[in-house]
Amino acid sequence: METEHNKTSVFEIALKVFSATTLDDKCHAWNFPFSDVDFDAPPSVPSPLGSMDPGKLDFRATESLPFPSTKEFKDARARAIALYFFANHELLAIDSMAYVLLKFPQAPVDFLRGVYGTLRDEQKHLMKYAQRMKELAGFDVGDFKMNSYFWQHLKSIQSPKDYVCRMSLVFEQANLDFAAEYAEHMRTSGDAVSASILDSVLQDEISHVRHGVQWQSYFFDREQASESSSQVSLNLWEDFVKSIPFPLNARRARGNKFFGEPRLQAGLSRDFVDRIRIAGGSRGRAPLAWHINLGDERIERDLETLPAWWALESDQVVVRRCPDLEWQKSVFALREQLPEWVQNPGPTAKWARWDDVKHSEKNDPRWGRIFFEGLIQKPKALVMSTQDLMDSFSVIRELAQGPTEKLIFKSNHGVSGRGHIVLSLAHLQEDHWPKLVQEKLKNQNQWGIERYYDRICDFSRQIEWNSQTQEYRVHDPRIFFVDGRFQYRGTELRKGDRQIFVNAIEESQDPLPRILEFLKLNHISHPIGLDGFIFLDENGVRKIRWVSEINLRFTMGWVALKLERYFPGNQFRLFSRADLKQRGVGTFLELENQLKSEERFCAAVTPTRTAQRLWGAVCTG
Amino acid sequence: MSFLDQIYSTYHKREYLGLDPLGILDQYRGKPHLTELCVLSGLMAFGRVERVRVATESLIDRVGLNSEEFFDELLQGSPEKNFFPKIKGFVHRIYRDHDIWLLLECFRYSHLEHGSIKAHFEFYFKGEDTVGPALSAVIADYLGVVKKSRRKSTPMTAHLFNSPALGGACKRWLMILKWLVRPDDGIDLGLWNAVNEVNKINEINKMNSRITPAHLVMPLDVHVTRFAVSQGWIKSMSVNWKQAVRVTESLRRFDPLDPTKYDFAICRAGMLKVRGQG
Repeated sequence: METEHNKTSVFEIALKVFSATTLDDKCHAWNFPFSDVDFDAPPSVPSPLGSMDPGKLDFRATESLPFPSTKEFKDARARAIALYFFANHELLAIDSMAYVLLKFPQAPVDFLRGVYGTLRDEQKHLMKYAQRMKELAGFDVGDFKMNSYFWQHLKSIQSPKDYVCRMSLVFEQANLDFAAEYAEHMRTSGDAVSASILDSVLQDEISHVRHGVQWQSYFFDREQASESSSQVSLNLWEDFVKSIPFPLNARRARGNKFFGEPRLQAGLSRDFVDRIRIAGGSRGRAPLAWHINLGDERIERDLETLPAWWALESDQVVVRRCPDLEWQKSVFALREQLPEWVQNPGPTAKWARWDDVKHSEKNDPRWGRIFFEGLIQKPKALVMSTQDLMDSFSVIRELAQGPTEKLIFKSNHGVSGRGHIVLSLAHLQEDHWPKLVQEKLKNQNQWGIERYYDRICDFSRQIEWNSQTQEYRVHDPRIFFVDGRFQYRGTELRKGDRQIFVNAIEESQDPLPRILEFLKLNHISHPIGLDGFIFLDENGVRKIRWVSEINLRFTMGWVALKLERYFPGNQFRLFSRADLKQRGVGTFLELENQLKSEERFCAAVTPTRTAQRLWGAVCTG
Repeated sequence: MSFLDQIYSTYHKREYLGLDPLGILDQYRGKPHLTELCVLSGLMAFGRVERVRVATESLIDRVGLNSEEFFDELLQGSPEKNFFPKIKGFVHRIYRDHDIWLLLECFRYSHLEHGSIKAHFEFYFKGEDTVGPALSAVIADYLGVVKKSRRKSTPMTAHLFNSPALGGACKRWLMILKWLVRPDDGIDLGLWNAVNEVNKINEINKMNSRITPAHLVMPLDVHVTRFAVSQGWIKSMSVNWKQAVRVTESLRRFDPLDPTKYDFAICRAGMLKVRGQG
């Protein structure tokens, strides 16, 4: 429809482009420079949108092409195929932009003008790619099957801001990297023409991303001004992450190689660019969601970021709060990858593995007990409630008979030594027993009670299933530390001091071969931690108990093993608020700084900068 | 005759009552409120028998438990005003006057809500294999009474109300139930059953879904537990509800209608260091 000033409505152009099934029609807007387009007139026809998909150019195509390796780029056909993929992307961008023009006619005119300008640029790119691939290999757009990747992510947009976040700040931002990377590959392959096309695409993409940056900020500010105070705490980064729903993620806004400069030219802040540089997220693989499950919410909250040290870039880590950028950068500097931080795996849950160990029956402590009883020599232990303990002095006295005359009371709900209590029964009269129980052992359903050994050191051995070799790998023992209450406090990140083991006499034969046999027989592929200890017996002889506990789950020993890759020869240590007090510092950041001045080496393996926490973890040396 | 029956025939005798908290009750046979006396002395049975005896007798005197007027005072008017001054300052091992008052409040509850402690237990007993579920339910009621009481419980109040539902072995409650449910054979009291023969008790009560000696669970003290371990009935000296049921099941092989009849004899044998062949 021509307007009174002989201009064509932008909506009419968009409709023709959106429904086009020929290359000419897809590039229809190219015929209408800004001076010929009316952005103000409302659409004269009802929007055809709804369940409608854009017109397709490849309705006759049956053959799919794999994306070529850059090693094949010496071959013109391979380069042409790469360009075919880029053309496919341009086509999808054109459809998406036409869709935005049709879907949001009431958006600010300057926004519509920007989208229209971008659409014309994409048409220009499409025509350039089409011409170049014809020259290189003689094929046209539509000769092969095309994907609808962008469209699938964009058709659900509900606002212009959704569009700028998903298209401008994810796909077009990623194209800053792809265009720069493939321009270089084309140049290396001697194809200066294709390289110059990609160079010009890169320049255009910078302005497209700039358009996204400006309009995200505009829409964000408007939302903040209109929303309640409880919702205004988001910054632009958080707003961006919130606006790109699964399976999109910030990692998708980055190519194979990362180029910071074009992003800064596009007006992205340095903070935003840094976040994109290190962002994790799946690019198609079903993400594995990691969730630290320690049975105590306070410790979980403090140590929830630990999976950053082993989770893959495509994995997710469930956190209550994303760690601060500086800490993430420090981890990224060592690992060169970070997982995606999610507060709720939500839509991924249907196909992500949600800490399957947590829900496995094999993680049931009772299962562990049966396992334990069947495979290793069971230490003499009792299970009793506080009430029953009061009536059982004789039994307790009998159990305590030994070199130390001490017993260890293990809380039924204790994790990693939490809630363990050691009581000395030396010289204790029966009359005083109830009072001791009353004072030391709070009412509890069940206590596990064992004889206390005069330990020289504790150690753990980790067993991991290797699905490729179909074998278990048993790692050498690592010495770990516990505090006075038997709470886990750290691990030596190096193989055990062999001398300690050599000089100790086996209390009984190492049950490891039987355990491995059992694991294989039962197809158990979860990580297994075997804890043991070296102790002095009543005659002062150094003895080794190879396995005192079997943990069918991820343990701190397993975590330490993962950290060892980055901090070999050091120690993984947990610090509590009580340690801060003892050391005369107020925060974990101050503790980190103090340790840095004291130790040869110190790295915070959980964030300390923003921590308002009870626990912190570091590696020191 | 099995080793167990030999022990039973040797030690299930009144001459050994002096070593047992039951001996304290012997003097009160035929006196009023014997059920409450059983509960009170059973729950005080903690430590050396001589001290238990002193504490229990002192308490019985203080609250007037052996007088006819006891329940009149407890159920009417302001019982706390009447009773608390009498028990104020009472101390026995870990128990304090507050604990005793809470126990009296539980007696009051059983009588007001069910008519008696026996009726309270029978209200919850639905013919299960053991008395465990009924005991758990009664204890839950009592903990509700404690929670609502104006008097604050002490850390040790919970010790009075051990429950199978929480996995506790409930030694003293099981001991009290044994005294009350088992027939009067000169040792136990047979208070809750009109007839005095186990076979008849079981026959009558089975029809009426009442607690019989067959439903009792063995109270696990150190001697019984050690004996059970020596016989291979249980593997460890752990004392908890599961262990108590396991030991009782083993004893049912010797007497399915009255497995806890061996309790007194095993304890006495244990005290006198008699050991069986495992």
